Amino acid sequence: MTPRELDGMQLDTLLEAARLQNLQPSPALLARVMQDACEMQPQPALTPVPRPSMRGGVLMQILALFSGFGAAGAGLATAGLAGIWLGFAQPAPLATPVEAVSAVLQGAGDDAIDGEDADMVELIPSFDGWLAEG
Amino acid sequence: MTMPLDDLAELADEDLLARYAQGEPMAARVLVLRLTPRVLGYAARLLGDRAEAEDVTQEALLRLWRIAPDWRRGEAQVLTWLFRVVTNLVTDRHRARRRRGAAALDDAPEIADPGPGVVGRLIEADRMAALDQALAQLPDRQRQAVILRHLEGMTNPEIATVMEIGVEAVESLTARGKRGLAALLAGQRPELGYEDEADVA
Repeated sequence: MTPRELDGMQLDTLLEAARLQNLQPSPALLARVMQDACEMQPQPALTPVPRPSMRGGVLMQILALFSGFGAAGAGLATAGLAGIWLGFAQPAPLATPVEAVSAVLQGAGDDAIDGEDADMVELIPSFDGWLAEG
Repeated sequence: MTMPLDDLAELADEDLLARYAQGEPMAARVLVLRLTPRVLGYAARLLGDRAEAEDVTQEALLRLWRIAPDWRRGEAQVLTWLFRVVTNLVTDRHRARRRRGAAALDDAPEIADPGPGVVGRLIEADRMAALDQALAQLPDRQRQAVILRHLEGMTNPEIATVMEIGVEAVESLTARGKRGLAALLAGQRPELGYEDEADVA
């Protein structure tokens, strides 16, 4: 007598029972697989350093190009401006030593030197006099 | 940035794989714990040999780690891709066995050790052993289709992707495989717990 085949429902029940049976991997297998995974894993990318923002328009961007020379540039600019200033600015007229001395002598002469004026010699001509006389 | 393990566990396989490729160490751990049992279960059912199934599992996953940086999102599901790799690896092993002429009856796949258990578990193990033996006697393609459909719970389009065939061919293979199983298990109704009415009477 030929054995009777399983009907569809019986076979499905059996397959369902098998489906629910999970084969658990051994710790040794998990360790092997984990080791492979770690060895093959790419290294994380380095975090990029954020670049300073270029806000402030084109002028700031151009100035930023020379940012390394900022300190030296400031010094050069100051020296240049000072030179221009010294070249063009007229110095305030100063009393010459002769005038100062003579003023003192005149004030004192009224008391100390009777009737005689001291001779005045301009040892250092003034800038104005030099311009006028050449 | 490292994501907490709980959050990673909720990610889809593909997202985890992307994080793995970015160097996220915990992604590797979650993937291993999630995928290894599935791959091992499928490989063991195809091969009927646990030690061999473990080798295939390790090899399939190694290929996944290798391809991770070049993985193209949306083209395939990770598990489907893995099952296809396992199917191909097992097919290669079967061919090698046949070439060696080792596919004799004595080399019938051993049933995976169910481990220690009570009587109830042993009875259940007997049922599973009978099923595994019957599965092992099916032609390769029928066995793959039945396992993927009924034991791995895949849809026919997913199986078609794994087996690299059309959906109609999957349906045909599954149907023939189930008919074959029913016939092979016919002589083992008592072991399976299905007593004939005549026996009961």
